[in-house]
Amino acid sequence: MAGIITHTTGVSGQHAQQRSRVDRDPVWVRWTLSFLAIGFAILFLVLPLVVVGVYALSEGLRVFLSALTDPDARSAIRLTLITAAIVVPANTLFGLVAAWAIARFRFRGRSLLITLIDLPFAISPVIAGLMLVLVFGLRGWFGSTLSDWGVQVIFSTPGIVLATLFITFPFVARELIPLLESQGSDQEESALTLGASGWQMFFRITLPNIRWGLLYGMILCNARAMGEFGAVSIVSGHIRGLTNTLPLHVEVLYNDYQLAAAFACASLLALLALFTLFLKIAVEWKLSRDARLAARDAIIETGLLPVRGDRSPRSTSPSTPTT
Amino acid sequence: MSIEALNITKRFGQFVALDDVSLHVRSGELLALLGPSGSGKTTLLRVIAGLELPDEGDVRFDGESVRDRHVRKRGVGFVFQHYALFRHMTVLENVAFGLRVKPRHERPRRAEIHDRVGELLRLVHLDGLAGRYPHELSGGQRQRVALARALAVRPRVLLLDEPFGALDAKVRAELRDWLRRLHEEIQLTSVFVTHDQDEALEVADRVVVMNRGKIEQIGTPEEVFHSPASAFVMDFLGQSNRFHGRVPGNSARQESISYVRPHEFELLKPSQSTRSIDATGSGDQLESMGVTGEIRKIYSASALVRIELSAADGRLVHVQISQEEFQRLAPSVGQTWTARPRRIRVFAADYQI
Repeated sequence: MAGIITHTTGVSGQHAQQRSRVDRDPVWVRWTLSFLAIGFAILFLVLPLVVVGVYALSEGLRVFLSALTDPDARSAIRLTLITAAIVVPANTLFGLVAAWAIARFRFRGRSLLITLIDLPFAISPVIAGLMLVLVFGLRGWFGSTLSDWGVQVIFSTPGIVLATLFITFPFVARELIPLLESQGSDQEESALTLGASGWQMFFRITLPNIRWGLLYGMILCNARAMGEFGAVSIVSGHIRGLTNTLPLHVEVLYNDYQLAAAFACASLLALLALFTLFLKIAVEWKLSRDARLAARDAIIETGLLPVRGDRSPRSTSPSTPTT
Repeated sequence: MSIEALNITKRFGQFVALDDVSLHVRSGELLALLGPSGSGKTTLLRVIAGLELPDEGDVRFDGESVRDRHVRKRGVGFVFQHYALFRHMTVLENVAFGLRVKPRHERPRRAEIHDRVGELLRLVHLDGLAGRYPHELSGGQRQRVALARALAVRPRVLLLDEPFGALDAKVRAELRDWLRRLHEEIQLTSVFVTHDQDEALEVADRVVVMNRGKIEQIGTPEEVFHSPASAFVMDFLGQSNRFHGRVPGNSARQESISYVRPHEFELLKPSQSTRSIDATGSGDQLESMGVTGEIRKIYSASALVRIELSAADGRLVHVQISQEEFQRLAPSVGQTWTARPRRIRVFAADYQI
C-alpha cells in the first residue's frame, strides 16, 4: 500500500518537473519582469527611505539629535508610545474575541461582523476622524455630556487613542480568523475531554497554536498605530507638546520649513518600519514553518505519506533501472 | 460502567442527526456504532461524550443522568478521528496533559505523572518515543499516543471516533487486533464509531447499525451479519445480490426484495436444472431454480474465488465459491452456469438505496 502510494507521489513529482520546464518563460521575459519589479521597488520604496536618512543628517548629527531631544519632539514620541501601548493590547484582545466568535460559532449576524471588522480598511482615515468628531466633539452627540463630566475626547489623548483603535481594529482579527478556522476545534475539544478548564484550554492549547499569527497581527497593528496620520490629524488639533503624535509632529516641522528636524523625526518612523519588516519576515518564516508542519501532519493523518520507519520494502521499487 | 442514551434527538438546523435514539451499552463491553456517513453515529458518540448537547433525551452513566454535566467533568476518554494531538507538545506532554490540568489538590506529583506516562506508553508500545513531537510520528503511532492520552486520566468510558479511518490498510488491521487485545486487558466500557463493516464485525462485542439518525439493529456481529433485521442492514453488511420480486403467497402483492450473499450460492452445470429464471424473478422461483448466465469474470487470486455471472437481463450476479469447489468444477469465462441460492432473505421493499 505504502509502496504504491510512494510510487504515485514519485510520478506526480516528475509531472511537476516536466510542467515547470514547459511553463518556463523565455529568458528575456524573466529578466525584463525581474528588472521592472526590482527597479520599481528601489525607486519607490528604498530610495525614499535613503532620502529620509540623508536629509535627516544633512545639517549634521548635532541638529539631528537636537531635533529628537526637543521637548515637543519628546512629547510627540511619548504620546505615540502611550497610544500604541493602549491600542495594541486593546485591539489584541478585541481581535482575539472577534476572531474566536467568528471562527468557533455560527450565529446570526456573523457575516455582518466579518464585514464590520473590515470597515476601517474600507473607510478613509479622514472620514474615521470626522466621525469621531461628530460623535464626541463639543457639538457632537455625547460631547456636551462628556464635557459636563469634565472629560474631553476630541483635541486630547482619548480622541487620539480612539481614532487609532478604530483604524487598527482589523489587523489582529484578520490574521487570526483564517488561522483559527483552519485549525478547527479538535485539539480544543480534546483538551476539554481531558478535564481542562476553558482558561487552561485557551492558554495551553489555543494560544500556543496561534501565537505566531497573533504576534504578526500585533506587529502590523503596532506599526499602524504609531504611523497613523489621517484620522489622528483630525481629532488631535495639532497642539504642540500636547496632542501631536510623531507623524503629526513631522508634518508640523515640515510645514515650518525645518526640513532636517522633520526628516530626523521621520527617520525614527522609518526605523520603526524597517524593524517591523524585519520582525514580520521572522514571524512569517515561523508561520510558514508551522503551516508546513500542519500540512505534513494532515498528509500523514490521511496515510498518504510514509514516515520514517514506516516504509515498506516496495517503496523503493519504482526506481529507474541503471543502464 | 454502563452507558444509557435515552430517546436522544439532535438537530442541526433542518437536519435531524439523531431521531429518538435509545441505546444501552453494557459495562465493560466494546460496542461499535456502524453506519454510512450522515447516519448520526459520530453525533451519538459526541452526545455521549458531552461534546454535543442533545435537543431531547438523556444520557446516563451507571443509571445517573450526566446530561447537564460538562464534558470535562464526565470522565470520558475521547479519541478523535484525526487524533487531535497537541502539535506543540511532545508525546510525554501530550499524554501528561490530562494529569497536569487537574486542580492542584488532585494533581499527582511530578514523579507520579512521569511514572504514569511511562506505564501508558509501554501499554501502547511507544516506550522510548516520549520526547518526540507528533509530526515526527507515523499515523499508527499518533493514534496510539491519542489513546494513551485519553487513558491517562483513567476515564470511566472510552469513546473512539473512527479510530482507524485515517490509516492505511495494513496498519489498520494491526491496530484493530491490538485494540481488541487492549480492551480485553483493561476491560473499559468502550464505544467506537466506524463506517467499515469488517472493523465493526471483527473488533466489537456488539454492533449497532445506524442509518439516517436511527438505529436499524443492535446485536452481536453474528446476529447482525447472519440475521439482518432490515434490508438496509443486509445491504450494508457484506456484499449481497438483490433480486426484486413479490413476497410469495402474499395476496396484497407487496413488492419485496430478496437478498442472496455471494457465498450462499452453489454453482451448478445448467443441465442440472431444467429451467431457469431471470434476475427479476420472485424469491420463490429463485430458490428452486437459481440464476443462469454466462460467466464474465473470475477472480481467483484470493481465499475465495469470486465469479461474476451475467444473468439473462444483463444484471451481474456475484458468486463466491471455495478454491476446492473451483478446482472441482473448473468453470471458465464464457461458459454458462447456474447459481442456485442455498439461502434467501426477503424484505418488504420499503427501503430504497
